[in-house]
Amino acid sequence: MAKKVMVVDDSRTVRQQLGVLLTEAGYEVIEASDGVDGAEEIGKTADLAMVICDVNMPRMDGIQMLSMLRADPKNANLSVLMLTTEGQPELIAKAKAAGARGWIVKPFKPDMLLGAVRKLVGAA
Amino acid sequence: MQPEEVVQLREVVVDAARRIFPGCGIEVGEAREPQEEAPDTKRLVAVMGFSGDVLRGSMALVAPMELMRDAYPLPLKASGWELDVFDWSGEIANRLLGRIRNALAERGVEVAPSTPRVLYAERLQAVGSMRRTICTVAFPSKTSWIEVWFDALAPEGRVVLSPADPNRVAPPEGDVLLFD
Repeated sequence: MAKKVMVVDDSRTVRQQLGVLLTEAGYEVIEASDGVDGAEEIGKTADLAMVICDVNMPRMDGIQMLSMLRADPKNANLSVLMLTTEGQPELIAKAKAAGARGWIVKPFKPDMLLGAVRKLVGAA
Repeated sequence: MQPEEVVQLREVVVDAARRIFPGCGIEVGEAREPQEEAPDTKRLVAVMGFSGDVLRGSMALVAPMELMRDAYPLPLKASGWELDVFDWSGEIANRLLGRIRNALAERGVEVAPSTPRVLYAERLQAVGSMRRTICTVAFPSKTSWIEVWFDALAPEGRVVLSPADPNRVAPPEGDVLLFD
């Protein structure tokens, strides 16, 4: 069974780009459009392997969502990779402290992003 | 704001635009003053605000619909594609303001952004007050233009951009930073 990766980004285009990339690599992709939507979807998705998450989003930002996830012990091993335009060292440190496993400044390079996904959760 | 600060901010905006646009499917030439466009040109306007202790303002990205449609990174549907192009325009604005923010942060000025909003305009005209910005700059692309309107205020009257601090440099775009 394909590993499930959730993409949380308020840009539909970015979600579609990642969806095509990850689906072609054999992963099953689930989409969410902001932190609130993402937290809800994570709560009802079984066997989720990983989340790729934007930071600056409406309603709830990515770091708030990450902190919320980590408060629930059942998400303790869920890998979260931040994909964002942000690059300030303080924000990266904040995400790391909140439990992110990695950070990519947009625009992403498909081969490097896929390499990171495989490194964090293994092949599809 | 002092004239030299305006010049410095303009340089940050122009440099960010020149670096971001090609990766978003928009090849651009040298920055220039905006040109008058035909009044019937249909344009997309992606707007974002930002705020911080020493600087606040807004940025608008203005481009013909056709230019943004051609820059869309995936195959477009035969109908109903406009919303996808609106979304991509907002994402380009988000990336541009992100790079501007990172450049400002390297120089000691922190700002936080809003999320983008995209408008579709026919007969768009900039009135006099909209020209009094830090910069309104146009980049030629193909047969048209993409413009960046960057407007900022310094509540304390001055924005002191420090020399770039190597400890505050953002990771290169696209590189993966994995934590232990």
